[in-house]
Amino acid sequence: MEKRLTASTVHNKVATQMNVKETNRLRNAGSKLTKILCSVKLAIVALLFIGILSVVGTLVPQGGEVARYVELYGPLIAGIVSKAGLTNVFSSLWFLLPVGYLVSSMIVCSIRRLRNVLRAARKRSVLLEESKYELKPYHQVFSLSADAGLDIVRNGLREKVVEVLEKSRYRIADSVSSENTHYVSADKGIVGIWGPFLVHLSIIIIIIGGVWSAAASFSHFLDIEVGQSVDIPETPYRIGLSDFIIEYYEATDQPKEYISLLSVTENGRVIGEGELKVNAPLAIEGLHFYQMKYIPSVADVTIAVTRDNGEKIGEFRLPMVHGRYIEQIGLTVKPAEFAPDFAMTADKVAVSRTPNFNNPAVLLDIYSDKKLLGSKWVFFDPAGFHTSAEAGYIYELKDFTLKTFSGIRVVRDNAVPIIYAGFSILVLGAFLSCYVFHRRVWVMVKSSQGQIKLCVAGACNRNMLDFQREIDKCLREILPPTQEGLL
Amino acid sequence: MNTSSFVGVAMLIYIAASVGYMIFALTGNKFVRIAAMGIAAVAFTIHTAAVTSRTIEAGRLPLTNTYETLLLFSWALTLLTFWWQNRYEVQILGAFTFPLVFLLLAAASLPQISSEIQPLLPSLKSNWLLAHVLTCFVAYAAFGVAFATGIIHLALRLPAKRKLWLSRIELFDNITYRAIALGYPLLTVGIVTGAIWANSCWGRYWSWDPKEMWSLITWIIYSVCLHLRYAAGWKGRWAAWAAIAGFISVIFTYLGVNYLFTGLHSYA
Repeated sequence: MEKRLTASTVHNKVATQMNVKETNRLRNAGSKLTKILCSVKLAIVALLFIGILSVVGTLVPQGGEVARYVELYGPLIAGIVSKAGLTNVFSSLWFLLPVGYLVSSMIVCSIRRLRNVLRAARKRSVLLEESKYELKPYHQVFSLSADAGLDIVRNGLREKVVEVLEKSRYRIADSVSSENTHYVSADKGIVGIWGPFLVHLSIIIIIIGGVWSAAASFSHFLDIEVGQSVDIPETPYRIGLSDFIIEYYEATDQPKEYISLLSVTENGRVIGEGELKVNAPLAIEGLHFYQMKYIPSVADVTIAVTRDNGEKIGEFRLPMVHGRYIEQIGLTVKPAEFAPDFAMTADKVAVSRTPNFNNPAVLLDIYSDKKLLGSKWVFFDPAGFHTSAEAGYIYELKDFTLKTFSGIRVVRDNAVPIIYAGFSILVLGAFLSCYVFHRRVWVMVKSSQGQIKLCVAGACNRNMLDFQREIDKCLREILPPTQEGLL
Repeated sequence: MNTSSFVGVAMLIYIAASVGYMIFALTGNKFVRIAAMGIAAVAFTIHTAAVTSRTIEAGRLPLTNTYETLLLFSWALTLLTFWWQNRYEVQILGAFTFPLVFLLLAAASLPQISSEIQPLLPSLKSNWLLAHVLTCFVAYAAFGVAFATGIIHLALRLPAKRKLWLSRIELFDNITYRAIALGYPLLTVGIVTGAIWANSCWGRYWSWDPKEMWSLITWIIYSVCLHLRYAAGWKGRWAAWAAIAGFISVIFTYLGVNYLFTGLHSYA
């Protein structure tokens, strides 16, 4: 690495490298369009615009009917909101334009940036001529007198500089020595310059994945009853639910796990089966199954009816909601609502505390010739404490038929690997951008007539703060204690 | 002592620490600074006890509801404050972050925030929980520091202070950038792990849910912050305002969304 050169060769070498840089810069100036696409300020404005529209998108309910907005905001504002496309922000021109700008900007700038990154990686060993030191963001000059610097001179200042830089994990990129002048250039963290390129690339990949996913994926919600099976839309398959299990945390009624036992068939032949749990999707034939919901559903209730003088009329099985006409009493009874764990709130509203069948109750609407006579909550009450009389009869909940449905989502999305690749690159790029800084240091040691001149310059693409701390620390190690006051 | 009494005591001591650091910020008195640092250290010890006792009571790390994450968020903010106060020799930081820590703990003590220990919902039982929650809240703490240094930067720009602190103005601008750069990749990981988790739980990595949208808005604001460094003349003042706006968005994403919208992310 080390070469012995005359002072003028050093100068020429440094100057040539400078000239190449100039030409490249001119070549990069590019067309007007490139300028617009690569404007940081325009990108910031576009990002802010997307941010503001996203805020609007969360504040204004999206994709509703016009009537809903009139109800929410009144006719005038509702008109403006829907005319401006704010009811479908994310597919409006307002949103797609800045997104389109940013995507094209990221593509153009990524190509440019890639060129710069490759060039920077190639040209890391540029030495700095003396007059350029003060142009760098960090620069210091020390004049060491012969006495103070004597030890350094004896031990070799250049060697000390190299040693300290290497201890701080710098890589000595180039070093040139002439008779009484030494140049050193060192750097570290060059991999960090890939960060922004990777972040922008990953966003493009994620957007491509998202568009592909929106165009080519499907997702369906299926509510399947235990023991039943249904066709999976858009596929030749059928899915059956053989059982549905709820596990509870010990001694509580807090569900711990919902488990569906599934089997997928094609023309009656089983092609896959398994246990589906929350957070543990099943993959069968490129389809992914997700456990979404537990839907307990009461199909019918059995009600005992007694005349209020105690005469038993009989027990009747009534389908939920529709109910039926009971000939013996001449009334129609409709079970309108079912509460598995009935409770009254403080303001006398009937609710179900939990989905568990701790205190089942049914709300009966009692009609005579389509005229509602009354509504009554009726309880499962073998001891007969809570008799509920209405229209001359006492009703009692005797039994109910429970049907269990499992809510399952079926998804086919071939774009997921692309999205995940984008995510990985994004995370890598973000860490490289923000945690790894490309730091470059140039040092010149020049001795003449018992005087030693030490020039230090540094540049860091980001985070000058920590860079400065580091260089100051290095200098404290290099300089003799008497010279430390210079810092 | 249980968690909530630890929180109560820590909260009171954080008030004292905040007052101490404020007096130091105004007077520059060295003894006040040392006293304030000591008080803050006591508060932090008790705060750590609160986090530890919650972990023991619940039998798992405190990551699963608003109460637990408030403890964690404020704890990380204090830790980061101590670290950077010394690293960058900006003791004044505590005058702005400790009141924030106090407010977060005060929020945790509100009756609306349930401190009850609930068994985990099936949808929260996932290996992604740790990575998702931890990265988000460490990021939030870093953004809290950026918020504080943003305010300090703007305060130093006021005409009366200008001459006195000129060299410090740029320092606080740099720390704001540094804090955002610390938090940004972590927020990115938080959002990405959230998306992957959502995909394994609900079959969709992005549902345009309010929590997701607001985390994206926050991410966009901090992306703007990072780009402001490269737009000539837009760093400094505008970067400070962006850091403040970003933190408001963080708080809204974290707390506001839960109370104003209904969505998938209803636990915290």
